[in-house]
Amino acid sequence: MSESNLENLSAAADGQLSAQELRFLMRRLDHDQALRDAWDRFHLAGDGLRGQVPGQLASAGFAARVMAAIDQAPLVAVAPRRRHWLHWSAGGAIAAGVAVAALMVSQPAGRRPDTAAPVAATHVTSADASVADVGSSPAAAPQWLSGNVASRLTQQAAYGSGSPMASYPQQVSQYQVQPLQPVQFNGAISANDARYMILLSPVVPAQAIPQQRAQAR
Amino acid sequence: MGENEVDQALVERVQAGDRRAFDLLVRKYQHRLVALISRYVRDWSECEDIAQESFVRAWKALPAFRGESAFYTWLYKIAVNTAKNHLVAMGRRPPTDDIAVEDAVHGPGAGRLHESATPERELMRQQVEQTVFSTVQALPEELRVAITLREVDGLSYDEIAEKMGCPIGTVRSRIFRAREAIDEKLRPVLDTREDYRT
Repeated sequence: MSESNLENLSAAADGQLSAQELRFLMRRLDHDQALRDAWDRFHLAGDGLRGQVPGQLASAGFAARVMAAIDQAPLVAVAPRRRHWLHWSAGGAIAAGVAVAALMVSQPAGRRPDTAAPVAATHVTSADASVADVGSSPAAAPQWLSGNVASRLTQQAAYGSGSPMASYPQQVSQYQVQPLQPVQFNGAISANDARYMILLSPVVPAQAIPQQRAQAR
Repeated sequence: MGENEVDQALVERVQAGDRRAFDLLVRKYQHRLVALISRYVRDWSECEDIAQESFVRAWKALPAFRGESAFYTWLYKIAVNTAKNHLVAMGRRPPTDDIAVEDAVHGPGAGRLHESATPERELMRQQVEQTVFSTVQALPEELRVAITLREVDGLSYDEIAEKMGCPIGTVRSRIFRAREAIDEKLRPVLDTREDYRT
């Protein structure tokens, strides 16, 4: 037990050692029982100066028995802190909320033809000419629903005759489009309100589509 | 750096896998914990067993310790629960009112005579305090002031250096020399301490 080690021990008791010095001291402590005992007495001396010496002192070999018991105890992995599962759940909930909000915001509500058309047109392929017409209509599939599959499965329903959607061809594909009930806000029908619906049942043969499109125009 | 920061540094070393850091925490708090438990359990032979079990539980739970409270506060709660569980297991009724952690650490009477203290143990406590006080009184002034500012007033080395008008290295040296002098006198007193297991 050298004097320099004792001085480092004293500084460690006051939290004045750097991490590296503390690591070095720990290694010394591993092999130096006298140094470990001095640590015990340094703290007891501090208690004595403050008039706080406990009425019951642990017996001389107590700390050694505790460490022996710890060595025999089932080892609990000392792992890096992990975040509680609730933290991850909260993160997931926030992400889901943001996604829902993004869907609601990006839902097209009767875009003007000049703004909607380019968006839809970029996703139209030559193999689906009937859907290409939808791209030129006032209502366009939202960007998040763009692509062939989405275009085939979704149609927008137009409301009322005064709506800019009135001229929207109701059957531009082999799927039947059913207008939804208009939504009223403060008694007025919102011209911008729109809904998408998934259509499952084909009712019109594909050959009839060009004729219906001409009628709609 | 205060006591909590010193403990936290040791706790982080334990959490990083350094078992020796836990040995230092045990040695630092062994007397306080045994004294705390002796307030719940009168049988002295049981006190150290419960204190040992408390430390083992703390060791097992330490990976989950997040430092939201001071280490001793956390350890104190483990010890109180372990003592109460012991009383229940022995068919005894645990006390309904707890000792506040502040009283257990710094409060008046924290180290004073209580039901399970024997005259011999009380004498030991008095001898320790008297030895420390008399040694400090006999120290050269610069050592006495430095150790008092650190241990009693809780000042950092920086603050002590400023108060004493000397470099931090000198403060560190003075505090060490004061501790060394106290230790020289304290060691023979503690060597007479009974080891209840041997």
